[in-house]
Amino acid sequence: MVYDDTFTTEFYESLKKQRLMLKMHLAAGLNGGRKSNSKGSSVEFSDFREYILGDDIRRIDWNAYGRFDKFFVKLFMEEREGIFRVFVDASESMTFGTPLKSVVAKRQAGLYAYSILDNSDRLILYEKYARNMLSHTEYAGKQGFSKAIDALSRTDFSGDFDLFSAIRHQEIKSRGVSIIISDFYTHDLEETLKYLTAKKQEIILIQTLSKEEENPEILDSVRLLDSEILNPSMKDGLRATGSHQLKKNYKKQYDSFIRNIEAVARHYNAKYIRLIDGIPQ
Amino acid sequence: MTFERLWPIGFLSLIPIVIIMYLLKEKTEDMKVPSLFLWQEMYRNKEADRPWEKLKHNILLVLQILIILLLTFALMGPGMSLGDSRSENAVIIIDNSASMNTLLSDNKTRLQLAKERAAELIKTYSDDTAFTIIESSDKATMLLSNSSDKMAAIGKVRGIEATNLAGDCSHAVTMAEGMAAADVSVVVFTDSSVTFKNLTGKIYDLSGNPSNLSVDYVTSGYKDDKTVVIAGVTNYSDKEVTTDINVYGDGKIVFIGNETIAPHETKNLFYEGIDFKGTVVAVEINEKDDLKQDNIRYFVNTESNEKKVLLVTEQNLYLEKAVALNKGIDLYKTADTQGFDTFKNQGYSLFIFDGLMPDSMPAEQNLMFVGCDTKEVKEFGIEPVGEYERVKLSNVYGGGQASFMVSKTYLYRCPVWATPIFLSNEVETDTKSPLCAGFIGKQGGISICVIGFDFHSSDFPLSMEFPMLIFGLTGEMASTEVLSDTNIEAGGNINVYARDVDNITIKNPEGKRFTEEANMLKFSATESLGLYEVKAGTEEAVFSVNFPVSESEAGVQSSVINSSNTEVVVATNTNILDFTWIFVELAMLVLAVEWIIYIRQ
Repeated sequence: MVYDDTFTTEFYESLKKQRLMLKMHLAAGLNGGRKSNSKGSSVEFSDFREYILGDDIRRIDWNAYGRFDKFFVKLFMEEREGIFRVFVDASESMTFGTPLKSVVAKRQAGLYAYSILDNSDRLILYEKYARNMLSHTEYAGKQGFSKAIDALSRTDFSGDFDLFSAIRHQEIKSRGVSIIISDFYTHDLEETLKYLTAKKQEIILIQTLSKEEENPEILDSVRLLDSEILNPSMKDGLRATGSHQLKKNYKKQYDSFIRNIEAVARHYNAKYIRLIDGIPQ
Repeated sequence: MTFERLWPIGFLSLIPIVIIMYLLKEKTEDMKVPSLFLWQEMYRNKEADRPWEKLKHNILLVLQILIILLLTFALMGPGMSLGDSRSENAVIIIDNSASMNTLLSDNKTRLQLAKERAAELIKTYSDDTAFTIIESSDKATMLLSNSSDKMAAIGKVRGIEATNLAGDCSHAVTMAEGMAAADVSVVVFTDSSVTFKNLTGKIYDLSGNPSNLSVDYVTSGYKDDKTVVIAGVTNYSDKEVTTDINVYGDGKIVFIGNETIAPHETKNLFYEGIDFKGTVVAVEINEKDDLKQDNIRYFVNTESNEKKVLLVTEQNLYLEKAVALNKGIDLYKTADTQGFDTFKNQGYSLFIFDGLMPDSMPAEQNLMFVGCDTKEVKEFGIEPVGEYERVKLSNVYGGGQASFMVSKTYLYRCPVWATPIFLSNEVETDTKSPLCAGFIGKQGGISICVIGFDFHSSDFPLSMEFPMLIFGLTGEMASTEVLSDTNIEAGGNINVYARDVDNITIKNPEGKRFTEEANMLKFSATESLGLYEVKAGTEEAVFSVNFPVSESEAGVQSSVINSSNTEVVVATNTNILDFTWIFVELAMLVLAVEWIIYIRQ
């Protein structure tokens, strides 16, 4: 396991407690594509799916192996697993805040990963591949959790990574739940939600912001520079002079920004959670 | 609202400098933010990235500009007139005589207060008023005539200086009456009585209620080889005063007395047996009061140097008064021409024979013959050429220039041992040299002066040069003081005579020197109080200039008002409601607000 101070002892200790809360959250209104939430004693066969590391080997269908020379596991009606896709925004803008938004994002992703895998659902973790591209890895079972944590720990938050454009370039074939963890500084949120909805995804939006973004302190004249622009020139940036009016105007814009996300989320029936310095609002 | 001065407007030039400094304050730091997403959205509606937007939102800049404005207005002396001054022509007369040096309340003299009130008054007049400013002490001097420039009028008022001269505003009021312009308003700032005849006027009473003691006179003499000092001290205040009296002899304290003087009383002081034999005595009141200039008075004693002169005449008031001008002469008069050879032991320095010849010529004294037939005076060779009628004479003695006619005179060939006094238009037949009607010189150790005509036979005694001539001749012949007087009041004149040289230097109490290339001088620059040192050739003398006694009494006498349009106002009340303090307090308030905002930021 890669050492990362994101996933501390306290994090792991809190997993069990938070898992129950998260389970209730995931169950409420979401079926993860399952036919049913309940796990009964029915053995009605439902479907096959390809074996992934961690699956219970007793479920391997040897007949299918004999035919296809590949391992497949049987899925029963009540056990049809949910597919959860987790998208983490790995851009430079996530490296602000106390604690860092990136830390908050990784912990949220870790928490969801734990709950998902503990529930025997499938986790697909998407990672930054290039500016507008994502790669993904699937995880299943409890063994998959440590691997998912490793992958999250290695996430490089830098540059001007456009998560939402990358999401729209992803091929999504099966219904499931898409969890997007970001600060949502984008004009393409609605477009992305529209895409995901079309791909039969139920959507959870987790916004992580810092207190400084909610209420910036500007005392004097400054040139504001975007963290995602690597080598800003003299022409880049915006001049701002600290004043009461400036604060007022920014607050107005911030509130409008939040209301817009809430409206879009409502429109696409997405769950919206906002965290400021890691604290749910 | 009016403003006392306009020069503080220059401070408004600081405002653009402050603005430029704010604009140039290019200390914009770079501040990284997670994303400009929200900022860009905000700025889309506002164009807040232009430099002057800094100014719009910079409350501190606005407050600092406001402070500059408020302090500038405060320095300009804003005020509002409470008076009612609408005249087209305003004559402002300010008394700057000696009594205006009296201190009133707020430690200001009457003159200082008069200048302040006058400046305030000028501001209340309309802008098209023509101002005439006159200062008045022993004479009236017009400083500004018919000018509508208020600032110039105020400047002239402020430039009026205090003097030690006796006087009042009567000359100035006469001058104002002579202006005879329509709608003239005369305003007088004074502490003494003023009479208006045909003018509309206002008197600003500056008398106040000061407390003053003065030394009104001092004299000294010798008795039993010690000095006696007599002085008069007056208490002009309303309460009894006990004070020390210092007596100085040649600048050193030689006696201290202690006197109690009742209110409004003059006490005569008599101090004798003072061990001092010098020339200059001074009496000083050792008490602070509201007019310090009259607390000391000097007396130059010339008693020991006085010469006895005998005038032998039936009657000649011109000559008698002219000789008496010389304070160094103790003049005696007789019509008896007998027994002059017995006068030698009676201490006379000079005999003046005015139209009368002695029966016997004195042997040791200096002699002056005026209008006498001197052909019988064989001892000195002063026989006239003849007696002439209707002769034109010129005074050539001591820089004199007067020419006059004389009905009858003896004319002389000027002796080689003498210098001519009067030259005539008659000439000697042989040598064609002008004949003289008077000469002076020394013969056999005796000073001889001959004037060939009776002063009554010409109008020369009416000339200014007559007393100076007689003073000079008698001074030279009696070997007396070089000064016509040794104790005068400020503004008075003194005649100085240098017997043997044409150079007179006078040093005043402040050390300033006056030099005249002449052997006679009428000196009038006597405004400074104290001792003046005179040097005339090898001879030195001292005279004192004292505070005019008439100026010591403070207070406005009952003003004799002949015009029903004249009123007397108390000058301590101002005509202007001063707003300076309002602007200063507002500036302080804004400064406090600025400080609070700065701390909060």
